[in-house]
Amino acid sequence: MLENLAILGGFIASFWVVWATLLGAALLLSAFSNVVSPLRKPPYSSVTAFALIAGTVGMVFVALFSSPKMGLTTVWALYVLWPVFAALAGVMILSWIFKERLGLYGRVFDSPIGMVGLGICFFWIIAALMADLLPLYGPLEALSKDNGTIVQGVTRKFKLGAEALEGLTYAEYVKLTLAEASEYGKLYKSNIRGSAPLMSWVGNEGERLPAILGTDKANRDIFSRLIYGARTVLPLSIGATLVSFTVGITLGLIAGYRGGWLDQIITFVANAILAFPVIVLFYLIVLVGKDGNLSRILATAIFAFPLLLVLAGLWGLYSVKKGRLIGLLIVFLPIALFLYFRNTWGLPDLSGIAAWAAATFGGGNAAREANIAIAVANFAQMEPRMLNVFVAVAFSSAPGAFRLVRGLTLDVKDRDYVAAAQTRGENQFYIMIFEILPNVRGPLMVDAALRIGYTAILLGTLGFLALGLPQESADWGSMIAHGRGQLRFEPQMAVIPALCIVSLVLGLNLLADTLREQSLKD
Amino acid sequence: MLTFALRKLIILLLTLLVVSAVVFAIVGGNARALRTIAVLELGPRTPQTEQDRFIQRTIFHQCDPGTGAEVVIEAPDDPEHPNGFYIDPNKCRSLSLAQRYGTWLFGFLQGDWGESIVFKKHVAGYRGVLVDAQGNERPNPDPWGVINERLANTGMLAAWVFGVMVTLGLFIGILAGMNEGSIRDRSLSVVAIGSTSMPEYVMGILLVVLLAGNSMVFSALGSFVDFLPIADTFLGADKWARKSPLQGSANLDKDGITFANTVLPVSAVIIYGFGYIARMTRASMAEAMGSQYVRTAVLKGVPRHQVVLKHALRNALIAPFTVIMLQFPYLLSGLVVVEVIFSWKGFGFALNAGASNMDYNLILACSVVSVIVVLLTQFISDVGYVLLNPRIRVA
Repeated sequence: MLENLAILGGFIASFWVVWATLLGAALLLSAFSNVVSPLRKPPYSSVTAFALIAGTVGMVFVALFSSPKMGLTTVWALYVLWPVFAALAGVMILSWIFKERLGLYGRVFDSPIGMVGLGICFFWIIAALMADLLPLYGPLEALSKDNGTIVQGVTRKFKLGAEALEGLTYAEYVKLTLAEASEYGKLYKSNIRGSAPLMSWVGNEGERLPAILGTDKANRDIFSRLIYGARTVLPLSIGATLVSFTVGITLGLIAGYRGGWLDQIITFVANAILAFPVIVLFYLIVLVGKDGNLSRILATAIFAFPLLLVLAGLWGLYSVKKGRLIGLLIVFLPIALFLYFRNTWGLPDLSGIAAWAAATFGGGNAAREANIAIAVANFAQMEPRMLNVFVAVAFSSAPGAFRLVRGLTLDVKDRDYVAAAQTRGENQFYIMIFEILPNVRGPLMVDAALRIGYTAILLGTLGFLALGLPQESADWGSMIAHGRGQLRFEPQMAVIPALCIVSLVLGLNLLADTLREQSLKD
Repeated sequence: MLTFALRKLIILLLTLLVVSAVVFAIVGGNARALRTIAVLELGPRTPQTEQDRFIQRTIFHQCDPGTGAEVVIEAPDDPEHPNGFYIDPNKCRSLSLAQRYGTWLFGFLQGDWGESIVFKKHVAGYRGVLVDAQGNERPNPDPWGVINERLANTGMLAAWVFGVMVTLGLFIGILAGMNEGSIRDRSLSVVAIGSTSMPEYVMGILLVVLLAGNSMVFSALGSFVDFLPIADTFLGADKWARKSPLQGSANLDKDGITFANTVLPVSAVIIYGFGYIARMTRASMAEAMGSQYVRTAVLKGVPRHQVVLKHALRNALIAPFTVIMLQFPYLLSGLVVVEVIFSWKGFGFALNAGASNMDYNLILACSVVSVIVVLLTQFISDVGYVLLNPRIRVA
């Protein structure tokens, strides 16, 4: 089955001239001929345009990269990732069915472009969630030397192409490489350290796929690292965006609603931060400040805002029902303060408890004791280098969010419902958080989608310049930096992580565009 | 108008003061990093007092005369010192952060930006007289500093990027916004969205892989030429088809700024940047095309090109002007990345080298210079917006 699929994929890829010509002709006809004129007018024009551009870019890429290997790689990637695609299809179909009841999210499904964007975003989210279930290697797992050479041999044979495989038909070639790959899988199985993947779809139980994109300089599987890379990039970019938005919302609401000297001071500070080119800010925070306490100080400031926002919200809701307020605070404050101080100054220090837990539950096994000690000592705490990056990214995008919220608040605060709330004698925090904020959520959501993409780009920049993130981390930016030295010989090492970043950001941008259009329809 | 500009200028100077103080505190307050430099420069076994003196003297320039840190020793009867006192060349007092900032700012305003540790010369071209710790004048070995030539190189890059990017962005935005919803509009919008999701480092790497040296496109072209013996013989295609005229890494010291080493970095920044300008222009243009005065002009029977050029375009270009000027911080960031990729020896390259090696004076100078550039563009944007838009009148 796999062999036939691979042969088919390679066959299609190697006849790219015919394929591309047909596709191009169809697209040009649909775009510029009067025969199919409905395609040129809204609402179909956006679909046609997207197909036209994506088709052209696709043609160029297929033209440049097409080879039997590309077909094989594509089929393999699809085969390995089929659970992801299945889950993606499930989510999309369910959302499509219930789109009438899903509000703004459901209306994204009215626009094909929006569906493409949402699909790309969901793909990466689901891939990040399911990475452990797929037959992949670990992100830091170096393939052993013997196995590595076999994999390199497979890749090299792909590269040598005609000279190495002269006289073989394409089908024979695919069979040969697959046989080699399964041999490789067996070898790998005998060398497995740590846990095998929970499920395995390729070959027998415990076998994993060969390194279909080759391995990097440290002999780690590039394809697995790409999928695991989503696990670093997505939480960091979404988390940093959320935190920067809470900063922006808290300060923007106060500055916009209260005005006066408070507004002037906050705006001045925001403008001062915005006067730095982002990269200079990164150099200062991440590189220059890494030995000092700069990122901890910034974290103390930034992480206070989610806390303050929730407190202000609770005060706004329950300022007259003090009993309920105190009850909620007893539940909320200890957890929140624990998380806050753990992630800013590492307090309380859990190393004592960690030693105790390791001694009690370790059972005399040194490796297990070390694992338990590390897990307890790092409980609910971001790794310091990760914190550096998180804080730098959140800090640099907070002023933008602040300016947006402030502008929207200024726009909305003279509306009738705000005046009504004021006349009712509502608490000012209630007015800000429960009257103004819900009414400006449309532009905020659009900006959040855009900003997550921009944050992903910034993270890529940080990884690319080898700032902050650990060198071995599997994020896409670091992978680009890692593969940049081999650009002449192994371009896929840098190009494919780069395309991953582009796809994620493109998805988010398309989604944001659709959200904007759909929310303007109201 | 003049008061408005003046107020903006005062805010600008205030921002600059605050920002430079903060940067100074970040860079100069990091004691551990400074100790690392001292150890790197002096060797691991130097005593701590000597390291302290190195930090004070070479990094902070504390022992220079006039900083207030010099140790004055009175010698009333010494014939060598007719003034009755002399400055001990081997000692100086340590100053507080605020005092050091004052000294640095004073030197900075006079054009003395200190010496770069990485490049072993002055950060800025310093034409003034150099005075050593004893108060004697010494010759200035290198009147051209690091920043001067680097800024000139980056300025060239930025000028090309800015010119092409703004032209392209405006052109595409206007074309797209002229009739909203058409296939042309949609195609250009998709192109613009694609552009905003292609960061410089991605585009830089793709361009290097595809176009630089004997890269993919050109090796494909070369193997295509193999099938055409006639082209080989008659056109000399084996000469031009195999090797790209474009360079993936610039050697500015040897070649200077040439077409071959400028095209790829410039395009990498442009491709990321033009989409945003195009989208803003498109929105503004679409709004203008839907306005009352355009409808009136159309109904009056004014030819379409005149409606677009005379009525819509003028009003539509006010908003993108602000957007374009505010793009400058992003442009600078992009230039840093691109300079690192293409080893273009410019401002960003110097910043990268300085920050990676904790080059105290260079980091300070680069940060403050980039902030000055950004603030100036913001100032131009504020004042220009008021000048361009007749609907706004400020006192």
